[in-house]
Amino acid sequence: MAYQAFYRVYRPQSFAEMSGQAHVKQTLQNALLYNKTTHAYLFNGPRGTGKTSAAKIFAKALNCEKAPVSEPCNECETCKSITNGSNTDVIEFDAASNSRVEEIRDIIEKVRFAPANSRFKVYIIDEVHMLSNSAFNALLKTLEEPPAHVVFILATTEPHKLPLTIISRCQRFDFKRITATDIVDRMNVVLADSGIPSNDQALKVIAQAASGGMRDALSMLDQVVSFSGDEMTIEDALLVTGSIGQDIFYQLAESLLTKDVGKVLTLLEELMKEGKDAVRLTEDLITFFRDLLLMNTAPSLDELLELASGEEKFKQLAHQFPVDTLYRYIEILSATQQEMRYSNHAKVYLETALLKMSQVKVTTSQQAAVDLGPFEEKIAQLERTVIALEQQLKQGIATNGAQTPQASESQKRQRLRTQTGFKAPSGRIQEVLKTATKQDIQLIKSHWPTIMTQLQKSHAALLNEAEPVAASTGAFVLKFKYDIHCQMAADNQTFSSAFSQLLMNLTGKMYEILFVPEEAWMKIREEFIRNKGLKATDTDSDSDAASETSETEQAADEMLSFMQEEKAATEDPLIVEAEKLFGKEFVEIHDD
Amino acid sequence: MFSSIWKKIQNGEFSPIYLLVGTEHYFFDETIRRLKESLNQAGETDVLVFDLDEVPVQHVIEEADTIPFFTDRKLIIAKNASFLKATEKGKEKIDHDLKAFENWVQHPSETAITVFIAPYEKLDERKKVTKLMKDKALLLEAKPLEGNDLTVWVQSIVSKEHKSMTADAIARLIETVGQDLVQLQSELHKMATYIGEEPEITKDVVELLMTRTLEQDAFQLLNAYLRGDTSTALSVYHDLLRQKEEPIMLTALLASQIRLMSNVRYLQKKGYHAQAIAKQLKVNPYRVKLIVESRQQVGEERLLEVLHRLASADYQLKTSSGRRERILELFLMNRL
Repeated sequence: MAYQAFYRVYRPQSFAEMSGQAHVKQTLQNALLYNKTTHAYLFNGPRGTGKTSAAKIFAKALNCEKAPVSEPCNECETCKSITNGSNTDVIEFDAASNSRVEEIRDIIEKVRFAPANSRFKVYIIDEVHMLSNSAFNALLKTLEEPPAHVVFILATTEPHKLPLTIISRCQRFDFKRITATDIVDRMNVVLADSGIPSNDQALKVIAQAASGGMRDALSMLDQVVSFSGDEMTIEDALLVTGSIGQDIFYQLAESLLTKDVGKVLTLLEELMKEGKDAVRLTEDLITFFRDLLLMNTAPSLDELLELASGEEKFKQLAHQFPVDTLYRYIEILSATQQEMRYSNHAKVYLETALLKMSQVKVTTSQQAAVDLGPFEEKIAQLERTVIALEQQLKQGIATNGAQTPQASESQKRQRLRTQTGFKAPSGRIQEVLKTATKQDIQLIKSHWPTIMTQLQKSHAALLNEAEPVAASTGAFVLKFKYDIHCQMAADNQTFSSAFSQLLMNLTGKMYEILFVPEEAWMKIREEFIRNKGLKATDTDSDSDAASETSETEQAADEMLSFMQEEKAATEDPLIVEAEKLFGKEFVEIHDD
Repeated sequence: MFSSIWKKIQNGEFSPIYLLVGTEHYFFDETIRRLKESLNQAGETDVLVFDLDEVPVQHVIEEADTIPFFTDRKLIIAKNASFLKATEKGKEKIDHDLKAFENWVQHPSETAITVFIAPYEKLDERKKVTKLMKDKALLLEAKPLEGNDLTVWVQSIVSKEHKSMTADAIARLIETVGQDLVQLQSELHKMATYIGEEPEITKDVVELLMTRTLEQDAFQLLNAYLRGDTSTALSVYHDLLRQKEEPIMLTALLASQIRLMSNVRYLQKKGYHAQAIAKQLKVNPYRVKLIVESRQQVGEERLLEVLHRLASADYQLKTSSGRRERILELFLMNRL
């Protein structure tokens, strides 16, 4: 007899022989035993996971002369004829080569006829996704109203290509990948049966490369056996399965990790010598690092891996690379890929890229954790300094204010009332009052509504109960109704800077802002007016400083009149705005 | 609605014309099955099936008016009654004689039960023939079940198999399989077969046996990504790729959704209601509602960050060679 490949000789003939797919086997066997089979089954899963085998075994068990049984006997005439494909009631149909309507119609026409010598007519349609659209429709008609004696078994690797109408008519089974251990076990059975000594290491390599497909595993085993003669070795297995590339990539990544540039370049040379194209190699490297990335970010998605296998050593390797580094690698490689398009020296580009990659700082998470210690200390230290400086700054303001005795007095009184209350910089305010002009305050007031709308919400809220009361060319006084708001505004650095920035944009002048609570303001103002009055009488006698004093006098008068006016007028920014728009003479204020 | 009519059918009270409308095929199958069962009690019945996409309605009338040979009544099933729905131009291949049909509907044959199946969401209510059918025929609306009804239905199917099922198992099943009753039924049948003698379908059984349907939803992808669930995001992404979706298209779709989310957040902060937001942004209120009610509120800055990254992914997609599907994949792997 001619030589038959392992996967053909050792096609399982009973459920017990099938590897993996426990859930499918149990369901089908129960269905057989309790006579709960349905008219259409859909077996889908990756290649070599046992779809067609399961379909054939199921067909045999259905029609076995000893039915109902959970396993075909493989002894009766029916079983035998199904095994060798001569049974007329089990129709195997390869949709890949018979995808047209005519062909499927041919077999479906015969559906109505009762089976010749078994209980069921079983249609096994392999690669069902290859059927044409009209062929699917023809099939659907039958699936919707199948005669009682017919069972359809559709098998496919690509269920998403089937129309939903077909899928919903079938009982669907997902065939899963067969685990490496199951594959190794089965290979051992095969080898023992053919009297060939086995090598566990080699078998593992094969099982890994087969990635869950039994047929792949067995045909690779076939190759290894014929390649190695008497004794199979792990080297042979590696060679036949093509796992060598994977290994070199592994070493390459490892050398990158240890920054062994020499080794990296040697490995590249080795790959190039094997006749790999540099452009293609770049693509492969991207894929490899992408696989490592995938292991890091979504470890459960083994089936999406392309170059690296889900082996333990790759997982470990992946975890040694931080995600950022992998991104950086991929970035470098894809940039290189771009550049290569315009050059004849693709290899040089790849070499530079690898050199660049070895320069990328690899900080694994552990190292980072170690490094964090001194940093934290430093940050804490800096924080302390900042706090100290801030305190100093505040004290500086306070001492500034305490220069005038009146102010310190008022401050003391204030302190008696509210322990944590805000200390108004009355000295500075007095200064401002001295040089305050009406134009300045008008200017600020006219911009007030705009400021309120342009400020951040939280900031504007602070200013709800506040209003500008006096202004000189370089500073203005902002009065708050409550201490607490004043305090908050004064403490809020971002607020003051944002606020003065806004003012500057609108008025073109840089103002210093002085915050004052209402009560303090009243006192300061009273004091100022009293002083002014005294001073005015003083200067009358003192003619030397006449020019100077007359100026201040004027300012004070202006100030006084303005303050009175201010008292009369409602300090509504709306009115100010209206006045600005229409002119003062046209604005009448009705307060109600 | 169905149970009462099914009961009548069981008791032998038939209506000469049935009209089944809707998308839920399970109800079609069940109604026909019950009709057959009930008719078969009196003896083997003739069942004739017509596909109105292939034969004109005259044939159905003719058949209905022919007196059956051996039984009192025959069952006629006319599928795809497309003349009841809005016409799609250029798609009408069959010449239905609607005049004759209208006459016939007024005086249907006594010796036949005719079932018209219109597997469409909506009929064209303006059509004369539709109005007439709704008036004369017994109308059954096969709408998809939702929420609690679905759970109750699953339970009833399970108990028919003499099994029970835990609540979390039901939830998991519906979550993955969806609302298609035919599919749910077949999954349940499969699970019941799997457990054999065991009395209960547990969540583990569901996990083991259910078939993962391909995710068609780019929003699922986005939500998984925003949730930080990289695994789900990637597997949905690959499902979409398998269905030949373009990465560029997906990028644009994701970006538009992110932009909408960011707009909604902004208006929400200004105190707008969902309705007002939808009006302002001129988008479907349902989309806004989903965003407003979503459990995970993503910060505005993060949204902008994602948008920025999508923009650069888009740029790369349009400029770089190499494998295009990789770029969006890398974007998805880069967790926020």
